[in-house]
Amino acid sequence: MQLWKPYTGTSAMPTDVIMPRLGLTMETGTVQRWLATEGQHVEAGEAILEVETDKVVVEVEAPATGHLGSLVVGEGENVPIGTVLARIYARGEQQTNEVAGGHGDPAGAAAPPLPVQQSTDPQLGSIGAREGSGGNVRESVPGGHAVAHDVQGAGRAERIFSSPRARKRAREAGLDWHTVPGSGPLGRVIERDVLRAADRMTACFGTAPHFYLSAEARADAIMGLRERLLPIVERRTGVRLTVTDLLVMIVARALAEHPRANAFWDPAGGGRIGLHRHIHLGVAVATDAGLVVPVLRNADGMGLAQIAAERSDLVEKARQGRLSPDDLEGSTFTLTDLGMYRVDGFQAILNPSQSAMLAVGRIVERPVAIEGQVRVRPTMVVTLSCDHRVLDSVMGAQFLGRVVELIEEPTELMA
Amino acid sequence: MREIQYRDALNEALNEEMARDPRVFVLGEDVGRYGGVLQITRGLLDKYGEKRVRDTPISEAGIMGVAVGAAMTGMRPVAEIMYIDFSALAMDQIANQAAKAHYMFGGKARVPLVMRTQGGGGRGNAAQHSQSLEMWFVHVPGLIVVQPSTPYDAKGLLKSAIRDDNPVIFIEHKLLYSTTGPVPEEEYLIPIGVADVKREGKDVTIVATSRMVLFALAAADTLRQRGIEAEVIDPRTLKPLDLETIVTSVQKTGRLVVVNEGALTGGFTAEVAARVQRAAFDWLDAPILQVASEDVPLPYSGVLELEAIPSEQDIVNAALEALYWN
Amino acid sequence: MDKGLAEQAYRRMYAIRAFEEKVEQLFAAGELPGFVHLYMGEEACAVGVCSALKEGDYITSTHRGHGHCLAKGGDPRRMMAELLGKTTGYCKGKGGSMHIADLDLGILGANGIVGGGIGLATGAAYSADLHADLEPGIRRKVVVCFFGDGASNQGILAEVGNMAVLWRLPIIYLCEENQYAEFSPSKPFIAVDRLELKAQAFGMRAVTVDGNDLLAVLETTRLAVELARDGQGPTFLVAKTYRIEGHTVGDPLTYRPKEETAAWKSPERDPISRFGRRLMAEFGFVERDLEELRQRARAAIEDALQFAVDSPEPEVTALWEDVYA
Repeated sequence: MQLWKPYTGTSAMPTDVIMPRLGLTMETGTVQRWLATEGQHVEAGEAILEVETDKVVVEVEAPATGHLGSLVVGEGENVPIGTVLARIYARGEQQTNEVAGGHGDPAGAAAPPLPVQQSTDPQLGSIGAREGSGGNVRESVPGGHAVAHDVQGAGRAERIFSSPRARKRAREAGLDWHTVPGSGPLGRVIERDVLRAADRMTACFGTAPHFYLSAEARADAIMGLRERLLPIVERRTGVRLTVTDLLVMIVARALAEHPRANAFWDPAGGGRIGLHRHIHLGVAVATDAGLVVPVLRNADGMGLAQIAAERSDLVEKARQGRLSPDDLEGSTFTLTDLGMYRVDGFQAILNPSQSAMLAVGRIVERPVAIEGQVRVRPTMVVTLSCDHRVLDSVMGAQFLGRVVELIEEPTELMA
Repeated sequence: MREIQYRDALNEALNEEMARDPRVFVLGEDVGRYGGVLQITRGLLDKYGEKRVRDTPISEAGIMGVAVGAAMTGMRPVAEIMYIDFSALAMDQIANQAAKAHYMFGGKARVPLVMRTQGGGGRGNAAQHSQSLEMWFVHVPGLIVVQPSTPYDAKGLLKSAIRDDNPVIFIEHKLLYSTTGPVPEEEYLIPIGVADVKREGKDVTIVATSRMVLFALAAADTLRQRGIEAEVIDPRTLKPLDLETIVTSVQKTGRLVVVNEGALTGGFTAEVAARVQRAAFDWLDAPILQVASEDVPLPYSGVLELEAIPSEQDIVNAALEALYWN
Repeated sequence: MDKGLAEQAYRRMYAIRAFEEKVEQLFAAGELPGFVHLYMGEEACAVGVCSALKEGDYITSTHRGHGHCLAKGGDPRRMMAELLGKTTGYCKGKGGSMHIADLDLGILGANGIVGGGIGLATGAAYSADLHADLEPGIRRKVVVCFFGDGASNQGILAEVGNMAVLWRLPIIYLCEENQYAEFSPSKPFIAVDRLELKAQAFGMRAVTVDGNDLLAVLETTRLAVELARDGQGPTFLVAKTYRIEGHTVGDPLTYRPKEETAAWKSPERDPISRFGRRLMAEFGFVERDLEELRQRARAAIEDALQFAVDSPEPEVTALWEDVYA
């Protein structure tokens, strides 16, 4: 026998193209460039405009197939999230003047959309549009996942659905359920979505008990290695090898040997330690727009040249504001190198999905003791931040020790 | 504890109540000499004689008419209608007379009768011998409707039904008669109007009646293998319904699947869903799902019949849907 | 029949007539909800039969039940209150004309379903039979089941009539052949020319009597009652009479000739007039005596009406009471 199927709505035309929410704190976005023109036939999934937020420029895809109506919001205009930017009409449909005056207000046009999806954390699973939610849901963010307002249908784009239980939970947690990504059909916000968001909220507010370990490492060996490898890498990839690249390799190796440093605290079910399956290193980069942390995926499997090339590519994209949300997601460990500034060492704050992170200060000549004599050698201070729920001081020290070991004897990487 | 069959549990209940109260008598087709088509009343004729174990002609309206009149004048009849499908022939007596006498006559008349009958499909008995018509009776004010799913429930509830001063429609299931279960030797009663949590769980509530209770329990085992703990509730009395037990469960799990073998439209699952969404709206994380028979007369062909009535897999699927797992 | 019983019989017949006339007025004045079915013209059946019964015997009645209830000793005050839907009525105002019942008097209810009392009455007879076994030495109760010629076509009669014969139940199936069934004459809908023959179908003894002759009814019923009490089983008793009013109040009566009604209303045929003449002829009553009995009857009905009018309506909470015992 069949079960009654849920009503998933109709894909009634015309379909709104709205300003998507691309980050947790995003409130407005700028239409940077229209890639399609009024009247042009567009296919669902085809990129039709570029949107800039404070950190990223993203391509927005057409949520439906049809012809593009008037471009309501022009290039360079900054509008609140949820604003209707244009409409897509089915064959035979006429554009009406409803579009005129079409910025709408965030409360009316669309309920505030949702943050871009978080990491595809293997322990927590990914949230996204599922089979069986009617197939009507399209992703407005390339490579991202469906957000509630991506649902097709005139008028339907204004509603976010939620179960009563989810709203109740949100009330109890002091959350606005409108801001929670929904994993149910039609993007319905359901209980587990709210619980997850509540967990993250507590995590983000720094409930992780941090402790810090510092060490000073001799940098001459690593600098020397860099000198020797510089031409080889440049010939291979056209990229200038940096100490950071070597640090990436070192940290990736050390993480492979010390999984607790590549883990996270999962508050679900009373709390447990989750070990990440992969090593995705986030490397913090300073840009005009501030600090961004693109991710080198599976860094432990990369050769040095590959690391250099990817690092260079990501940094370039970051500086140009062309990082995709995928580039920014999923890091299991972060390496922050503020060596180019006059910072000797610093204590970084952990991200919720990580149990540790390494901050590296500048390489500078400092007095060191060698066989009882004071000499001057280049050193760097490395500081490890740890989540005490996942690592204790011994584990932290062991990991840090290994990192320092590899910095001072980088040829060990060959073994 | 000893394990006995559902049919024997019923037989014991009848025997005990007839011994206890001389006003209790049984009437129906083939109940006396033959011992009952499904042998529920066997042995009673020898013990209590032909006036208290009355074989009747094939006259369903007559059987229920006599039951109502006897009940109104001091007796406690237990009338057997062989198949619930045949109750249609007696609907005036049941719905217009039995259900209404106490109210219509200002509270003085009492109709302490029990109509024992059985329904359900799965044996290829086809459309006129396989129905689950509990809702016909649930819908009439003044009737009590009971559906036991286990031998333990059957005995305890039949005794209570006989002792109740209201007309009770006691609906057994043809495929439950041979099932066995633990039944105490000592006397016990199960109160009318109290549901039974047959299995505890925290992830999804499954309310099921009659034979569907067994399917629901099997579905719960299957769900457990996937890490889902289902709570199975057997209302036992469909009217008056123990809504509180169901609501308490839904407040815990946030999810409800209702299973009943009657046809979907206007069925018991719709009644429960409507009540629960009103009482527990804020605790629901997903729509309430109904698992019921297709809106078709039940076909003879085994393959088609299986398709028409709910299966364990249907219940599993519904639970998964309620959990957003599919 | 002794003089006391004769007086009571005449008074009751007249009370029924007066009650029904009063009800007709009330209905025409718009004071009564629902509908009412008047028993006028059939008084000899109800009173004749019930005079043959003892306290504790049961009757089931029909939608046209005021006559039966009054004949069995029903209180006109509580009946009138019930018709006006008052809380002091027999059914607390929740049954109305068609569902008046007094279980203490053995009145197992008027019934809104045509033939609705037939199954019930048979069950009461079954009960009486079992009861007699439980308490040997007590007088076996007897049941009279009133129904009309229209109802004789209901299937339930065949079902329980058969059972009553098989099990020798102490019941009298009293068919009041008043010649009309709802809004049509009965004859065209009954295939046999004598209603007695229906009883033969299930092997039940049957007898026909002039339903407008109270003494004849009384005597015949007594015989049937004795047989029943004695364990000799049921009797099908046809009482030939006439429904002098319509099916309900307000019935335009387009389906029957006025002359026919006039004939049945005449003193020659009217049951109350006939019995009055018998009383004068055989019991030494004079007109003044009869008039006094009529006055008493009328006074009782006036009093009943006043009682009903003065009584309160039910509280709203009564709506949910007595759904279950």
